[in-house]
Amino acid sequence: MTTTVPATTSSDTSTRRGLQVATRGLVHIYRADGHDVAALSGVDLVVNPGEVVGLLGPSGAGKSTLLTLFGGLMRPSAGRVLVGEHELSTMSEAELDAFRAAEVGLVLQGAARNLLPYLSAQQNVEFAQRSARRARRDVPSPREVLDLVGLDRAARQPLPSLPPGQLQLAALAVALASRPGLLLGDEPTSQLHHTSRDVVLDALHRVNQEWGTTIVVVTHDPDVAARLPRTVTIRDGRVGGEGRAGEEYAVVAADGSLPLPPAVVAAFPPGALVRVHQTEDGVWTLVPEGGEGRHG
Amino acid sequence: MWAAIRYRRAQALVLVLLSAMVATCAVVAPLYQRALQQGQLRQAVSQADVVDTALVVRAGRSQSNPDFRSGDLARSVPASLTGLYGRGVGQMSQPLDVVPRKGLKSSPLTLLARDRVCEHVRVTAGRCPTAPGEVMVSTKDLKAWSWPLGTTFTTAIPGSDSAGPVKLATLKVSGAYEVEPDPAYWMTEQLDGKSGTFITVGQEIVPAVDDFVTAESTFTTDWREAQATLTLPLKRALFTLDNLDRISAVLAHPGNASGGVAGALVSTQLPTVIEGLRVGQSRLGVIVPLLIAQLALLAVAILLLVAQAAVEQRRPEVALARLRGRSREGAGRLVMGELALTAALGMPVGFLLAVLVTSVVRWTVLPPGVPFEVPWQAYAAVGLAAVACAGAIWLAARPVQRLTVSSLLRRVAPERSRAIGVVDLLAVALAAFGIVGLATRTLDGPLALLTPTLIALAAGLVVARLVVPAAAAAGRGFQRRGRIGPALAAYGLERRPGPRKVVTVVSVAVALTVFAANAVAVGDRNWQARAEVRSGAPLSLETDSRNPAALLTAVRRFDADGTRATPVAVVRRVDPGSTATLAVVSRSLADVAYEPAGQRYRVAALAPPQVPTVALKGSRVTGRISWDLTAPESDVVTLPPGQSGKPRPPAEVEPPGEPSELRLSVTTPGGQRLTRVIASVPLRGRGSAVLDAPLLCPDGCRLDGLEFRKTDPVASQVSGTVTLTGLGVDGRSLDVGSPRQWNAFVPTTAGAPDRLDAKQGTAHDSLVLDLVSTGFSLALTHADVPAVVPGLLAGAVPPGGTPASFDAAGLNGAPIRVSSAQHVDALPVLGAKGVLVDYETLARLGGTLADTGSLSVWLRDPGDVAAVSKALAQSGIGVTNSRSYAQAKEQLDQSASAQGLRLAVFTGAMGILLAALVVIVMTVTGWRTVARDLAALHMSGLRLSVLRGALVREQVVLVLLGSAVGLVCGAVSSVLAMPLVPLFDDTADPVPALQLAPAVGAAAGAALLAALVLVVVGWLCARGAGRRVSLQRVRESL
Repeated sequence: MTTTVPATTSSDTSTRRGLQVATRGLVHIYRADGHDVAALSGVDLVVNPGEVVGLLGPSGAGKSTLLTLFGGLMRPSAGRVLVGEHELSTMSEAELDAFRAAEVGLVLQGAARNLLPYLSAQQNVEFAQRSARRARRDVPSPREVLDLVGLDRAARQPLPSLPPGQLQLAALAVALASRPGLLLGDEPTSQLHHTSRDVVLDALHRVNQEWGTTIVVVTHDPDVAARLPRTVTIRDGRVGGEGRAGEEYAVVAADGSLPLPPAVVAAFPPGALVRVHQTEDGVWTLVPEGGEGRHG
Repeated sequence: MWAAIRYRRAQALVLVLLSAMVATCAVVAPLYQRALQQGQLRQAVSQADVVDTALVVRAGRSQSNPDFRSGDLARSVPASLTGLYGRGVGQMSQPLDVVPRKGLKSSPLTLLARDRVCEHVRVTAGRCPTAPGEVMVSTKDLKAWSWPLGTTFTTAIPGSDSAGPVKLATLKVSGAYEVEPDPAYWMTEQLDGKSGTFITVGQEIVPAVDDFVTAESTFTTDWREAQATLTLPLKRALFTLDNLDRISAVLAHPGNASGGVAGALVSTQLPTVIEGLRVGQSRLGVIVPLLIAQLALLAVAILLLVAQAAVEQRRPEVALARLRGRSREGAGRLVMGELALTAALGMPVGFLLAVLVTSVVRWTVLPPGVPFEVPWQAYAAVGLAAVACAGAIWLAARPVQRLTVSSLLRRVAPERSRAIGVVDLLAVALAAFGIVGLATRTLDGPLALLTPTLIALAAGLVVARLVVPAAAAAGRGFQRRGRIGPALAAYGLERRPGPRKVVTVVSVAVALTVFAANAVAVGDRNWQARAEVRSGAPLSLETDSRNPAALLTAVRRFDADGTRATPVAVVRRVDPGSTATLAVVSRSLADVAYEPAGQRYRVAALAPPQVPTVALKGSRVTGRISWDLTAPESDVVTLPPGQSGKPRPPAEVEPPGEPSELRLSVTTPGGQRLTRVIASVPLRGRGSAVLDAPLLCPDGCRLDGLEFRKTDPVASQVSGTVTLTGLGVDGRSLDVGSPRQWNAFVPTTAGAPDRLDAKQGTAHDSLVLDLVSTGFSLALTHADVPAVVPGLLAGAVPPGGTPASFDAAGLNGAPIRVSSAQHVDALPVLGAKGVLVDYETLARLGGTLADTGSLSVWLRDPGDVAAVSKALAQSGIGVTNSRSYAQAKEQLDQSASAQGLRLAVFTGAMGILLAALVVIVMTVTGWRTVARDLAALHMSGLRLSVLRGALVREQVVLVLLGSAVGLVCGAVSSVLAMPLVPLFDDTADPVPALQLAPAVGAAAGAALLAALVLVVVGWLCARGAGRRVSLQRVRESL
């Protein structure tokens, strides 16, 4: 497999930057057995180019759905999804195919689901590059990709012989095969022990630093979340909060609503009437009906 | 792609085998059909007499054409035909009468000159004739008549008197010959064999003389009635399948010969041979597609199911391809490419397998000499198989191509119940249409051929659907009762769509096997029935006897009680469409001969009367006669038969009173019926007289009956009694006084008052004849032979008769009155038209066999042939030929229809094999998932033995269910579609009638065998998958 970039290549791989991801009022509804289930109900989120973001939240909150919409695997029921200059909700299927071939890399949950079991890691990378190559897009050599994730020594080994951590690295390498501007990872460290998990996280950081790739990962693991510079918590299909540098924030939505942190929700049960006051010193307070005011 | 194939090498191997079988099924049809056609051709050519395929040119000399020779006939052969035939054999011949010895009457013989005759006879004395008038006689005649060489015969030249006085020819014996057998040269010509025998010429019996051989120069222009023939043998090497059409065209339009002999007749039986081949080919053209179409449909259906399973297994790979930017089509091509490459590998394998199968058939079944051929249709068939495989793979891959990436990524396959429903409905609709069409006999064409398989396919699909709710209900039931193993098996059946397909496939495969087994069994049953009809008994020995009574005596010498052998006479009339007579000893029929299936002969009705034959030996008929007769005088006179004019009153004409006659009828040893007037009695009045009349039976006679005839032409009627007392020969009483010894009177004309009844007289040995006669001769026949012989009639009643009384040929050719005791569908040897009568009864009438008859002996056990031949030889009876049931059956077994139907064995076996492969494929493609599921259950505490047992139970239930459905569908198909299968090569109505009832034993046996094989395969597969269930599977990721 050659890694030579075709002469007609229009852009240099080294100049490629991470892609911005933005959603506006994103809604997604699953229809099954005659029932509609809203997985996302108005997500407004911006991920800046080159940023590394973790999506957190309970099971069924809509994290994976959001990731899938970022990857162009589904079309939203409403709202907009912008990845770089692409408005995914309006793209044709062929355009989405080309988008997935070059602009985005997706790591599915479970390493094996990302790999053709009868090929080696290098062959899997080559397989993933085929569409981009046919479209005469510039792609890095498989060796370069495997070096980046730290799998150069096991590049030609049969996959069944690789330990779980290396399998996950191989899955990561396959997602990075076309040097995408956006890397999406669905639980990339699940089912891995600590050492392997750290190896994978190191690889993600390396990709971000060396290629400037925007990275969005879904995780349940607090340790992983702690190592990410920004986390977004999805709750009940909406952005329920953000964490930055270890600090948790509530995020005011485009419609002005403010999802309360879980601890506050206990004090203000659904249906409770609340007055919002600004104190003289500029502090906003939430005062329940007939009660003393609380300072926010 | 190779990596993908190698990764699933077991599955790839099965796919290769499956596609190979599809190719084998497709290719074996044209190969088998071509080989069978070649075999039929060789059989037809090798079994046909040379003369049957030869071209024969005949011409007779005449006034306008008095001097041509046989060689001149070659110019009468159309040029288009000359290339087909080899060097001809010319012959000039003329029937002559010569007096073998002075004082004897002349004997007929043929004087002939045949090309190269001296090379085909052994000259035992003298030399071959070379000069005109020289002849060579047979060695037997030379000795029998003591003709020295140089003996001359002077004979009139036939036809030489047309232009003047008759001319004489002198034939001089130059030598003696013995014929050297050479069918290719002599064909049907038979020069010798007559010497030492006698032949009937007109009313006289004369010694027979073998033919005279002469030189062609003998036939001078004086021989104006000489016949010439030129027989040209077919160049058999040219007679091939490829040339058949050309030869047919040439024979159909031979064109005209230029300069030939006027009036020459060119004929050949070759078109008949070719027509027979054409019929056989047309039969193969029905049977082979009928059988192969079933298999092909099964194979394609299986391929589709297996391809669906394989595509389903590759769904994650398609998802990955889409995930990495491949288009729908590109991702689909990924799967299709891998499967198509695998299937393509099977094509050459299948082609070679088909060649091998056909070669085995050529070596073991077909006659030697069938060449190895691969007709273009075989290449087309493998191409068709490849297209079918590609189509099946394309169809299987289409649903996956239509899925979105997110659907592809789901672990559980999306339900495609609606798509399957359409297929189900289509199959059910087509099957229903086919059933109605076949049941009403209004359907033909491809759908008719496919209907048997469509029935099973539809039933299998429906049952596979019903399995889901039934298994769910059963699973819940088992679970409530705490029977975890069966519950798991039932839930497995409910959940897993792949194994459920096994029900459909096994249904079709078992139905195909049942249909095939039934077809072969039903065919064999009908071939047996026809062989039995053709042969009559296990072995039939043709004899040279002409004496039925002598043959009966000879057979009884070997088999006194008639349980092992029976003499048989067949007498045909000149008109081939007339009703022939078959005479068999009726009491031996059940023991010795074959009886038709489904219709038992009522042979008891044919039994000869218990009244013994009365032999008349002596010179005079003696006894006493008395009479008491009246002739009314006041009645209007009725004119006797044969007179015309108005009836006249008695006042005008007084009866002259001529006496009436009493006659005794007898049959001579030669079978001739004679009557003797033994007494004259007055027209009216009472009296008595002594009987004493000449018998005139020097060699003895059989008492046939008594006749009373009114001879007075005027008297309208005579009535009264005539009493015979002590009727005998030369004073010895015949003891025929009992009325039981006489048949009931049979009136000649219905409605006439005439009668002649026998009554017991008052005195001992006294017979009273109570009579009314209006002028007809009244006959009372002796009861040793019934007045109307009972018989079993097949076919229509002969013209002029009724079932109660019709004419048939007796053994001596004279007509006998027969009544139909039973109307039967078919008779041995005679088939659908003829009458079966009792041999012993007719033999009592005596006489020699009619010229158109033959006498044979039927044996129950072919092993008795030596003993019977010896017994016959001791009576001076020779065996000329033998015909056995085995030969007749073998002939039918070698027919095109039979050999074509044997393909059913192949299709049945292939059906089972294909179904077994499907069971394996379903296991190979699904075992990993199943093992993971069960491993998860094992982790929750269920014992491995329970899980493995459930897996086996699930598989076995599917196979047994499919087998049961297949058995029912195969039986239904057999009933509906068997009429489509031609069982015989002839186009006439089958005799006996076809018996198409399903062969229950064969069908059930085939279903059992198929089920057994598939259960074993399923059991092994389930065991194999079960062994892979372990806790490690839970963690398995690749």
